[in-house]
Amino acid sequence: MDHEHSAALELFVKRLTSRSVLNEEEMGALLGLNGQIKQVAAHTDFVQLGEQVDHCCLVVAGLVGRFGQNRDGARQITCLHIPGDMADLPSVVSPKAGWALGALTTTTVLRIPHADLRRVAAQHFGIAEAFWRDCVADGSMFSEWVVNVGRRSALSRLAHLFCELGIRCEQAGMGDRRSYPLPITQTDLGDAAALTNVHVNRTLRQLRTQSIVELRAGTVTIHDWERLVSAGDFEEAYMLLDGPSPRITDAA
Amino acid sequence: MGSREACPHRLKVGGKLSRSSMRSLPRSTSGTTLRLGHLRNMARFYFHIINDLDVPDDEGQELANLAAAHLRAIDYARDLASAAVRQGRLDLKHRIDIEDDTGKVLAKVTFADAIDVSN
Repeated sequence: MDHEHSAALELFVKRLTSRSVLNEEEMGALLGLNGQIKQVAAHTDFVQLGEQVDHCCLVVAGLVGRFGQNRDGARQITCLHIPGDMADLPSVVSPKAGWALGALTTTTVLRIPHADLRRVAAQHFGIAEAFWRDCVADGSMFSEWVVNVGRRSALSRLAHLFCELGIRCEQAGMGDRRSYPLPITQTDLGDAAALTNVHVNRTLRQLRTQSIVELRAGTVTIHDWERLVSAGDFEEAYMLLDGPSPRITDAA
Repeated sequence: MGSREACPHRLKVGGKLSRSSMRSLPRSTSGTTLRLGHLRNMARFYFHIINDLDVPDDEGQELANLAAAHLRAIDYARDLASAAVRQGRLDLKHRIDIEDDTGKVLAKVTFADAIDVSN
């Protein structure tokens, strides 16, 4: 197993253990998962809408967008996946893709067969529970995303997004919440925040001239975290990061 | 080009590319923001906002031709005008300038061009 492969699995375990308790054996089983490294070019979809998949894609490097699109081809990104995220963990139990996955920049994924994920989940209830809770966290972030694009102003939407990604990158050990990589185009940022390209450009300009945050050369730099949080109407609770939950079997 | 295609300088209804031009694209590669990467001879167009806040476009977008860029600019003008209206103001002279990558201005679309205002 090469360095990229094991580093990605370690990040995935790190994400899981931020919300769930795993013992040594369980962590070992996850770190030993097989997978195939795949490079995906920028702006290439690697899971199509409605595709029947038999593997999950763990993001190793780059940035992935989960999206849906309407019949006119307009795209809505519903989730951004950073290194250490298993982009389509729900597909283990629901293999027909209800959404599509696309690389937003040059991206490397580790394709892990469903069969292997099912095996480790079946052998270790703690892993099954951690997977379950990861999907719940995903769902919680997704419902906040809907509030974001449904009810917030353009400025708030982008501010909120920068806050959330800052915390997620910090958790994944990629920079800290005030400075982290985000290799995204304005078009894709627009598809995420349900804004046009020009509106994103204009809004970023406002955030920059107010010295709150700037996105330059694929890096987000937050000059004033408090003002960004306020602008984004951001409250961290929905990210479910207040410490790992006790195991179901312990609580029962 | 069908009869529904817009006169370049004034659009009455509909600003999107016509459905017939969409049909030729495989569904899986479409996007907003059409993913037209498989077409040859794409060019990069820049959409600069000349507004209460001048905002240059540093990224640009690859589109098939100027007509496509023009339709896109009309869509953008309407979008920015809507955002201004939500804040209770509207200046129909505000505009989007379309430039190529040499910095040459290819077309200008004002809010007035993009919106049929009647009173």
